[in-house]
Amino acid sequence: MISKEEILKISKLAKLNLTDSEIEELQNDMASVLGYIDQLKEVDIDGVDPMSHAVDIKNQLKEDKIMETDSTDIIKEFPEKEERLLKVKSVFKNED
Amino acid sequence: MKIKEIQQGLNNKDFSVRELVERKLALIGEKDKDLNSFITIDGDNALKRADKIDERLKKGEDLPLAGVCVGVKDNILFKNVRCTAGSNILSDYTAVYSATVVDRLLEKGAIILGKLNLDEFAMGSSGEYSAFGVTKSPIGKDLVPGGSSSGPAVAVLADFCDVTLGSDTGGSIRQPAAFCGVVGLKPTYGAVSRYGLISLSSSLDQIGPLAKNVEDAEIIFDIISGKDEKDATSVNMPQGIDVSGLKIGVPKEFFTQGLDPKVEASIRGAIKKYEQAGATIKEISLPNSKYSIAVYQIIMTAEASSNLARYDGIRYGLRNDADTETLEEVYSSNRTQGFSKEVRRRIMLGTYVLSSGYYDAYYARALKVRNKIKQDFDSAFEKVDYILTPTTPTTPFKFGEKLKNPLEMYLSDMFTASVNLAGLPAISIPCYNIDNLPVGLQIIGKPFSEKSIFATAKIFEDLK
Repeated sequence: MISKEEILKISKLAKLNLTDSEIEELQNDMASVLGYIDQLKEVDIDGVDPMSHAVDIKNQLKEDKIMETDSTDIIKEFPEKEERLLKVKSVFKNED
Repeated sequence: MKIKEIQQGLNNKDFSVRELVERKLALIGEKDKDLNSFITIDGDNALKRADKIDERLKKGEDLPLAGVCVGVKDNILFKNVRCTAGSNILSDYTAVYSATVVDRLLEKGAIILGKLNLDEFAMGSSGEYSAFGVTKSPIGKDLVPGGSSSGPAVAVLADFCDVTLGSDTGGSIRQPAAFCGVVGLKPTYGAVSRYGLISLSSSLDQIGPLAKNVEDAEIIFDIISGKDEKDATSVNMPQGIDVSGLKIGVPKEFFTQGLDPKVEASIRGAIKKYEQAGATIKEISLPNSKYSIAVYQIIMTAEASSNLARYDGIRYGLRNDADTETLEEVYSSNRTQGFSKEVRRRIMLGTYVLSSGYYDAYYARALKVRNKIKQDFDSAFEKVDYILTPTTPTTPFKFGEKLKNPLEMYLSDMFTASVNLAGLPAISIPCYNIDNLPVGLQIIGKPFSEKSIFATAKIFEDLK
């Protein structure tokens, strides 16, 4: 069973807020899934390379050439803007 | 109508592209309120484009997909059309570019009718997890259509679209295809560009076609596949594999507990048909396949937690005006409001398995077991050319049936997830119905053997 503190620590890493009942539910859900995952301990992985990609290719490079881009559509999707600038909340607390 | 029939009809002037689009839009308008397969219908633009295609055809232009109405899963971007990924966090987001696969279809004259419903961020196996409502199946009103490409499967079955594009990370094209009695292909990893696909799990995701028949799925695959400069993980496909004689492997581990005996009977019936057609059937073993779901849950959630970190409400997407003081609080507030419970659950799991102290025990270990799963397939493919399995362990289950314990929902991917882990191509085609319910037959092939898989699938399609 994962402790409440552990869940809170993970939620901070994941940038998610959790209510008390959500924490409890997650403790149960994650315990269930992690319990199932535990069977991987029995696999013999001696001398086995990790496989993080299905295709055996490396460093696909592109020609370094300048292309025209237009940011108009991207700017349109800004939740808040001032002309072409992205506007965000000021989150700098005054340290007195 | 099949794609070739549409082409013939247009050549014979039996109908115009506009008429075809009008018919589809009318049908969608009439029937989709009961099914909820579409999130966004781009009707006006579809009709405008239809008129343009009709003009170009009059001038004698060759457009192999003229008149073909396509639906696109709402995690694949189509420029200037809303793209939600089935999530509140993107409910008002408009795509600023089109996915390469969409551009390739448009180049050949296809019409995109709209964006199709899915489990949020492609996380789900039933069509129950969308922020835009549940998708229903024409098969039965209390049966799930499958997921996460629920909209794409239903839109094909209901004739709303001639073909659709879905995405598959652990079975998300093949399983809904099986549950809806249609054809769905997950290409070899790297065969189809992921540029413009909202990423779930970058080493597993692939875009693929769904259609009513194998021929149409193949036509679409031929057009969307191939190296794309904008996707560094896409490759040029090597030439087709020469296969003389049909050597089929049946993995014993896929025919044990968990498999509904009626589904097994349907699949064995298909295997017999292949035998009658002259195929050699061999029992093979994929001993590490039993760990697929465990490995998949670790790798997929880990990669998802990383891929979904970008949704923070700053540059795009949902941004609330909650009373927050720190940057952390801004992020958490937007994300908690925008993501549904299942998405948050998977992000939490992924973050956990990557976190310090657990990385080696879970993630690093999973990558090694993944290699063993792939090696099992490599050994099997030295003896056989195709591997036949059921696509799913059961016929379509009921709404609500698998919501209580998340693990139960995850286990429904047990026959499909190993294929994504190994990066292999696989198709699901309709097999013999059981009690009037569809069953999917999965054909797995060697890397980049899609053309051979289509040919093998057609054999059963014709003989069935």
